[in-house]
Amino acid sequence: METLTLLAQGFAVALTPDNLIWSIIGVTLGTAIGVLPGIGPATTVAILMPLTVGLPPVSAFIMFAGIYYGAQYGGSTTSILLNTPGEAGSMMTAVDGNAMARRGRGAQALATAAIGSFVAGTIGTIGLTFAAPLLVEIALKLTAPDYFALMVLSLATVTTMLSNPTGGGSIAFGIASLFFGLLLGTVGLDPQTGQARFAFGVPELLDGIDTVVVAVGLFAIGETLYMAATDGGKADSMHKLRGSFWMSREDWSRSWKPWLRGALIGFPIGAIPAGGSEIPTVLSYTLEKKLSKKPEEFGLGAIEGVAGPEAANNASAAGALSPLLALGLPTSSTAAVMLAAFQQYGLRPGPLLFESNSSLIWGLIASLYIGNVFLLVLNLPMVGVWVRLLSLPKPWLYGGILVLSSLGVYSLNGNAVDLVILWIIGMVGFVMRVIGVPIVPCVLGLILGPLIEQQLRRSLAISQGDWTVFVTHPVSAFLLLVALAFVATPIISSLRKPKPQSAVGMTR
Amino acid sequence: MSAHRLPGTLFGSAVAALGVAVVVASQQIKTGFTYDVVGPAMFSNLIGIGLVLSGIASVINARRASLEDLPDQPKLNLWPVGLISAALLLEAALISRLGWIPVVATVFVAGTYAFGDRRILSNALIGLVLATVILLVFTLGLGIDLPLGPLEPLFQNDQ
Repeated sequence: METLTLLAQGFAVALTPDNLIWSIIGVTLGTAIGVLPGIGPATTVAILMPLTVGLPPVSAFIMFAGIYYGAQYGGSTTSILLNTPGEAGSMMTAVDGNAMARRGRGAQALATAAIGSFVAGTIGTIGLTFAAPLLVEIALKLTAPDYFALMVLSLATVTTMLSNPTGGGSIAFGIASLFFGLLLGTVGLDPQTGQARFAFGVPELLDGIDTVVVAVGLFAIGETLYMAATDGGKADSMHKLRGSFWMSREDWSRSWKPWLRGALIGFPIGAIPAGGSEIPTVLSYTLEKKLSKKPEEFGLGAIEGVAGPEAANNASAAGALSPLLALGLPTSSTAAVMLAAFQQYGLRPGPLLFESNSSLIWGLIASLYIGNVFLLVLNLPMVGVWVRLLSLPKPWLYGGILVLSSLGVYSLNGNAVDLVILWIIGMVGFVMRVIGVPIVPCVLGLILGPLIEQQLRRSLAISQGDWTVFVTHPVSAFLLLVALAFVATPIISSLRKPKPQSAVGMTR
Repeated sequence: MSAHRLPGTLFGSAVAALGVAVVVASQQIKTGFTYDVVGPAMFSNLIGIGLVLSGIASVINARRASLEDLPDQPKLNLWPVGLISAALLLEAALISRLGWIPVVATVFVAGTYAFGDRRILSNALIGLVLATVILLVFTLGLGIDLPLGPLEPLFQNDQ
C-alpha cells in the first residue's frame, strides 16, 4: 500500500502543467524519431542532454522516458509502411506488418500495434511500479563485490546476446567493442586519485570523453556515414493506407492474447540485461507462430505477428527502467544514456535515490502512465501525421541528423575539440558498422566502465588487496560464474564445431 | 588470403595493437595513495589485456570462418564519407571564427549532397534557415550560447 501512496504523490508531480507539457514534448519527439530511420531514442536523449541542463531533473527525465516509450510506438509505423524498421525493436514487426500493408491492411496493422503498445506499455508500467521497490530491497543487501559482479554479468550477457553468431567475427567482435568502450571510459582524470590517464597532455581530454560525444558519434554519425556509403539517396517505396481503418471483430479476437503474452515476455526480458528490445520481440514472434492455428499465415500478414512483438517491445522499455532506477544498472543503450543523464545532474539511481528523491522517481513512473495515454492518441487518430513524416527525403533527413549531432555535441562545452572527437568516433562507428561489430557493448562499456572500476577498487580496498573477495561472497561468486558461462559457451561451441551454426539468427 | 577474411583480420590486428599500446601507456600512469590498494593503472592494464585477447580471437575467427559463413561485404562508396568528414572537420576548425550559422549550413549542404541531392543553392537556403532557427531558439529561448561569429555585435546592441 505504501507503493500506491508514493505513486499518488508521483501523479501530483507528473500532473503539474509544466511536467505534462514536457511529457507531451517527449512522447511526440519519441514517436517522430521512432518513425524516422537513422536516429533512435539513445541518440536523441544524448543530443538533448546538454540542452536540458537548465530544466529541473524531474521534467528532463519525464521527457527522456517519453522519448523512450514514444520511440517504441513510432518504430512500428516505419516497419509496417516501409519495410525498413525505424527502430531495432520493430524488426520483427516489419515481417508481417509490411505484408499486411501490401495486402491493403496497413491501417489494421498500425491499429493493433498502437493498441497493443498501449496495453503492454501500461502492464509494463504497472510491473515497474511494483518491481522497482522490490529491487530496491534487494539492492540494499548488495555489497561492493556483488555490485561489481552484477555489472560484469550485465556486460557479459549484453555482449553475448548482441554478437552475431553467423557474422564470422562472432563474440570476439562484441568483446573487442566492449573493451574499447571501457577504454574510452578511463580517459581523463581518475576519480579516485586524480591521476591523468590517456589524456596525452590534451587539456580537453582531462575531463574525459563525454558519453554524448561517443553515443552521438557511434550511433548517429556512424550510421549516417554508413548509409551514405551504401545506398545513398535511394528512396524507399511506401505503401499507401487504404480501405477501412477499423479493426474487425476477428482482428480484435486475434490480437488481445498476443498483446498480453507480448507484455509478459517483454517486461522481464527488458529488466534483465539482454540488450534491449530486440530479443523479446523475436521471442514473442516465435511464440505466436508456434501457438497460432494458422502458422502458414506468418510472413504473409498474420496480425498476431504484429500484435505480439509490438506489445513486447513496449513492455521491455518499462522493464529496462526497473533495474535502471532501482540498481543503477542499464540493460539497453537508451537506459545507459539515461544513466549518464542522471550523472549529469549529480544523481545516482539506486536505493538512495528512492529515499532522498522519491518525488523524482515516482513522478517519473507516474508520467509513464500518462505518456502511454498521450501515445495512444498520437498514434491512433493522428497516425496520418506520422505517415507524412515518412516521406521526408533521405538527404534532408541525414543532413538534419548531422546538424542536430553538431548541436548536441558543441553545446556540451562550447568546444570545437569535441567536434573533432565526434568525427573520429563517427569514423570508428562507420568501420564497426561495415565489419559487423556490435556498437551497443561499446556504449555500455563506456558508461558502466567507471562504475565497475569504482566497485572493483572499493572491493579490493575492503579486502586489503585480496582478489578472492569476489569468490568468497556467495552472491558475487554466483553472478561471476553465470557471466563466465555466458561468454564461454559460444566460444567453446564454436571451437568444437568447425562451422558455427546460427544459434539465434540475430544481427547486431 | 580471401578478401572476405581481410576485414576481420585487419580489425582484430588493430584491436590487439591498441591493447598492447594501452598496456605500455598504462606503465606511465602514476600510482595512487596507500589506501588505494591497486591504483589507477590496474584497470587500464586489464582493459589492455582484454583488447589483446579479443583482438587475437577476432583474427583467429576470421581465418577459421568458411566463406559461406561470412556476410557479403556491401559495396562501399567512399566519396560521400570523405565529403561528410571534410564538412565536419571544417566545422570544427571554423565554428568559433565564422559562427554557428554558416558552418552548420555548410554541413547540411554537404550531407544532402553526399546523399545524392544536387540542389546546392536551395539546400544552402534550407541549411541557413535551419541553423538560424536553431540559433534563435537555443540562444534566446534556452540560454545556450552558440557562437555568433561576425554577427556578435548585432546581438550585443540588442541587449
